[in-house]
Amino acid sequence: MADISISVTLDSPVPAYRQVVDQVRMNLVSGALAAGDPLPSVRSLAAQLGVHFNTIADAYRELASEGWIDLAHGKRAVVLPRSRPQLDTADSDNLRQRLRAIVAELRIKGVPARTIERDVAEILKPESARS
Amino acid sequence: MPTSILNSAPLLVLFGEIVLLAILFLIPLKVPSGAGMLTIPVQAEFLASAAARRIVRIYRVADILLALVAFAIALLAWSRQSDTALILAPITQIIGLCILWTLSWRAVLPHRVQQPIVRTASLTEAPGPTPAWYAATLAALLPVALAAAYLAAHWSRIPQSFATRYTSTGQPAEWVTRTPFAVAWPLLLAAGLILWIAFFGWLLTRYAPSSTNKPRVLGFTLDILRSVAWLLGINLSAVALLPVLNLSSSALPIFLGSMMALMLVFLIYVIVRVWHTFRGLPSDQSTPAQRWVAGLFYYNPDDAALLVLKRSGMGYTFNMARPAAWILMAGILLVALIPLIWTLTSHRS
Repeated sequence: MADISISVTLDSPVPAYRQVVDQVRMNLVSGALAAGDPLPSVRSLAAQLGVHFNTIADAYRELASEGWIDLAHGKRAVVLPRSRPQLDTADSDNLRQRLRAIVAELRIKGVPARTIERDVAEILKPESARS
Repeated sequence: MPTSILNSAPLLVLFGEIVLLAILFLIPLKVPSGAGMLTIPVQAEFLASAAARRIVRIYRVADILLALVAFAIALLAWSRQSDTALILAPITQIIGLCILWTLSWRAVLPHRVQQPIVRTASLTEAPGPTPAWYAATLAALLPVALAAAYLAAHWSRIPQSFATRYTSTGQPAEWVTRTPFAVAWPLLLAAGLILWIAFFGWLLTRYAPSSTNKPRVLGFTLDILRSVAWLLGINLSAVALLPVLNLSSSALPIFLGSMMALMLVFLIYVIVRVWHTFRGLPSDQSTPAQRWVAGLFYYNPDDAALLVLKRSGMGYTFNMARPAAWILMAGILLVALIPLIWTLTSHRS
């Protein structure tokens, strides 16, 4: 398996646990992390990032509650097989609304539309095809 | 003053250390390359200012002056055959360099550029030294074990009292009565230090947060730790064998000179590795600059990391806000003080 890394910006306004959840989830969605893949232990990941154990434990609990990983007691977290959920209309509208808000924020900060398009295309690529 | 090359070996090693220290303290002037000073990324206007040039000039001149002062003390101590005064040379240089660093750091810090504190972690690869590293490091116990076996087999050949310390010219300075502990203590010390080094390698890979610089710096640090383990294993085993070898006055300087030469080779190896590893390496941004007390000690209660990369990238240091850091520091000090405690408490005839 190719090395998959995540990074945490300690002085970011986004809490560290949220950054971990978002980045692990991105790797799950893209297929970089497949069903059956083990994740690092809470202690190991916390030590690598230099954050408190509870930060990683919270992140793993959230991913487990979303059905992404299995947190069997005394064992390492493992990625679960997951069928693609069917979005209902309300969820879909809500997510589109959030996406529009993010795009608007990027445009306000001067990011050209072409760059946003390129970034979104990059995010949608499978892990193996990314530059 | 002695003119023999062998008798000058301790002085050559000391001079090597003085040069190494001076170089180590000069390297951070170039880190991060092109955009900072003393490992602190600074504003471009400040970097181009006369004030910045003045700080760099004073720092360089003081660094060289401190090395020259250390050389002078070493030569004076050597001419008077005073081992105690000889130790003063590197101590004076280290204290002087720390004061110089602190003063310069304080002058540069207000001009820093805020950069995000980013740490990375692998989701797929378990951190930790490879089994090959453990094997190569712990193999340094081999000469220790061989020396122990040789001493046990030739116990009757060890004199009832033997020298434990030699002057810088190779003359015995202190004597001790033969007991199992007195004979074996260099080997016990070597074994303890080698095991400590192996533990430290594990600690570094497990408990030092990752950053973009980590793979390069970690590889360098583990290589140096392994070399130190071998240096200690060989040199302390040789020291332990001295009583049983009962070398003649002409052979002893050659024996001690060989040990010094090994240390000199190690110093040259460190200098070469430092040059190759850290040339062009950006300063490490996994810790905030303002949390470095006097630019020397990292104290950050908001950081859960136990060990952090130094901002210069050259090695690691403890986050002194973590209680475990104090316990480990006490452990290191204890190991370092064992020889001193032994020297002070052992019975001499």
